[in-house]
Amino acid sequence: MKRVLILFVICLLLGSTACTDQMYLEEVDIALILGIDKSEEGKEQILFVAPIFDESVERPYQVISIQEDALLRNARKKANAKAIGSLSTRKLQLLLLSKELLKEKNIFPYLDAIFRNPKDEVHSRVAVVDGKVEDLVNFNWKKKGQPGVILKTLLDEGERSGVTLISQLFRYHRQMLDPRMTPYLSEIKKDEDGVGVIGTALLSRDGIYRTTLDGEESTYLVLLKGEMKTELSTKLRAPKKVGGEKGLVDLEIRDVKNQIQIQPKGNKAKITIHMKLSVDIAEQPFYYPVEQYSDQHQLEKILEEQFTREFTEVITKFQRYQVEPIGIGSEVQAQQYQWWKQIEKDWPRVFSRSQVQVHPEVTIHGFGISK
Amino acid sequence: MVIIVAITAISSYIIPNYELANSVRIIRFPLMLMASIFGMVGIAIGVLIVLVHLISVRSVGMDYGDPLIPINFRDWKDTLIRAPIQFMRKRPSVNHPLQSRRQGQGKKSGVTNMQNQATEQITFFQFILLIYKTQIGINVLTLPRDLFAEANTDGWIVVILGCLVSILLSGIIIQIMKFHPKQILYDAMPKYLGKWLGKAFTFLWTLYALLTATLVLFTTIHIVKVWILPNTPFYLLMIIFLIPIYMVTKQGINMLARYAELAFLIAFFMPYLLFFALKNVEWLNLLPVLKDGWEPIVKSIGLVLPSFYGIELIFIWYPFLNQKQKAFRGAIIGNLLTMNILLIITLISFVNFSPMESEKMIWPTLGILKLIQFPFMERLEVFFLSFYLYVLFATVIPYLFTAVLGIKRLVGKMDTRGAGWILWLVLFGWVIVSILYFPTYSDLFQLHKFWSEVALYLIIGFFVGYTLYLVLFHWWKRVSHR
Repeated sequence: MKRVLILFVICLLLGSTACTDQMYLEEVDIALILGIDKSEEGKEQILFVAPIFDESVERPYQVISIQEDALLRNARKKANAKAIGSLSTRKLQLLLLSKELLKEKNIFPYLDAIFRNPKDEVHSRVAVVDGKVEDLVNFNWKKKGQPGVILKTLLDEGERSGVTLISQLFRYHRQMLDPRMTPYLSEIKKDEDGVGVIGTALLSRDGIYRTTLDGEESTYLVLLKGEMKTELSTKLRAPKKVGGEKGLVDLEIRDVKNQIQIQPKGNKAKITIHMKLSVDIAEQPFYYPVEQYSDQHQLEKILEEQFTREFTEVITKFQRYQVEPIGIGSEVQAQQYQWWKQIEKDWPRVFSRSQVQVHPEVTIHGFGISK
Repeated sequence: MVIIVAITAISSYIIPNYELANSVRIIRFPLMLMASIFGMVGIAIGVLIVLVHLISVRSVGMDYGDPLIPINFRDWKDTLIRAPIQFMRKRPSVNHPLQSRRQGQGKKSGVTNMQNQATEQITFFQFILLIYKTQIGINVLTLPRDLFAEANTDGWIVVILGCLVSILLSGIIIQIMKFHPKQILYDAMPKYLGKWLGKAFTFLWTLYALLTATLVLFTTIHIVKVWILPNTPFYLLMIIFLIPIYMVTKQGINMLARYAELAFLIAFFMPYLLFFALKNVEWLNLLPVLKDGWEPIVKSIGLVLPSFYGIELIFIWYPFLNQKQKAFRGAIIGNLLTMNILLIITLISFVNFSPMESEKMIWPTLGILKLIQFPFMERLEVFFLSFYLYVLFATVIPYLFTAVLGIKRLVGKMDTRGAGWILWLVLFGWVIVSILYFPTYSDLFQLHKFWSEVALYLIIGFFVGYTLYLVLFHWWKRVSHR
């Protein structure tokens, strides 16, 4: 009895050894980049960039371009017909969205296929491209390697130096489904000199492109969010009477701590951000004598004034475009839940009407090795 | 595959014993076959089959897995790492030495195997783990979503309240069992309720246990199919899953307890993997506490209770417990362990996902694992889920055992072994069903809903009613005796 059973099981197992869940690496084209761009007649252009593992080819990757109007899966099916092997998006490193397309429509529902499939990568970086996506991926990388790898490194380094804020796919998903903030994505541009990260693109609540923050403003956004990963450097303009004509100071920001107070008033609020900044002076081309505590306080005062000006400018920009990438909404929900319930659906507009004040409190920790 | 074989070859050098190395070499081939057909799941199941065999065999009158399984913490100091000599004054308790001190001055020497027969008994620690591992099951993967939908981010409070209710229920069950401490509920019911009513309730409980086991098993296969092996046939997964399940269930209560220990030791680290997801989280999600007052919280206790089911099986385990006076303490500890896991999972998923996201996820716990990235490993959830099968089986097996015992009573057999044609019948039934019918997500979802309602009425209704009945019965007996 037992042996018959075991034989039966083995027979069943042997019958299935032609298993369909296996994947042979030799037969797969691994797409590292997925690009979505605008094309004529209201259709989208979908681009897949997959490496070719062959030393003899001149360009070590292939770009597959598809015109497709509705579904990503369908585009992949079409691309499969053009690709050498079967196309897989499991190792996707980058998602490139063109700015022109994002100005017109929300691309989020289009990506559902990726979020629905448990096997797809959710850590791929999402970036907005200023210009045509096709031009960017077809850029002459001159033996630097795979565009998927280069662009990813470029973005990661950009985030480390505070020039941009990266949203991975899962974070983009989270931001799109969070009424307490508006999404942001990093932005890249190709020009005559080459390819570079230019800043952070801000989207509205419904996923439409609104405006771009440049490198400096992106750093201020990081500070306002209070989510520093590494030390950041930022430049400030010192007043003329202190610094003379070219009075620029460069600060290395070590730590930032924010405390947000909210006082609701009808359909707007008074928002006060108390920000504690610990900084080192990294570059100060003019001489400013620091002999006593009072001198240092004086310098800190000056820096605080400059910071306040810069932050106010950035926030005014947010309010003008009705975006709120900082995430103050979470604080509102935590502190004023009843009020939040009323304005939940309309938060970016409420934010744009509100009076926002930033009070930075700068502490200089070090001056380097020269006075 | 090349990498796996290479790692295996290198690892084989750490086996110092030549004979052991030979047998390991032989075991490797079926494992390779499993790996090539089922991937990670195949490895997990193959290893499980070997492990289950190891913990079930006895060699020269001693358990092969001792002191790891059955767990014997006192002897651990010389097991994995050798403790310094000054800590090893005593002889290992596995051997039941007549004199426990090594090289002591006592007159007796030698060892005895007198008490070392295979018994149908479970220790206090095994009792705790049986409760804990039966409770932890498929609900762990979905609970945060259900709780969020009802009680928003205050769901974690519901978990604590649910645990209290569950402790209360287990107290009631243990009180019932105290009326007939030597008999499982099936045997006691005919005595108190009369033959036919007793049989009817036995039938009801059997049906319930069978339904639970079926639900958990089918859901497990469904989840494995969605997350890991979408193209592998349903029945094949069923067959390989049933092999370890059969190996454990056929050996009865003692083996069940050992399996719970195995699942505990292997899955011990798993909830803590989730802590890696605490990198970029929004703690503010949890504030304000008691967002919408107590009302949604109290209402959703019913949602969290199914995660604590497993306590009702105390009516099978209690007669085998060797320290019965500690039963309630064991139930409390088991429930608290479960609560700990559920709290970790709900809190981590609430701070990770934004509000609307939480509602969209079907399996939020696996969703969290998808967010964790290690430089040496991709798709952590595949690894996690494959080994989480051990824990899921620890839920299936006790229910299956309960069902088998119930059917035995119904056909007039009174033993407490798992083996026999009835077990085969159930397993064959499952295989046949899985060949003929492939449950959809909605089927399982509706079945789960149906099951949790049935379980709620059955567990609370039956035990409260039965307790009252027993109290009245004994009171009546006392009165009529006078």
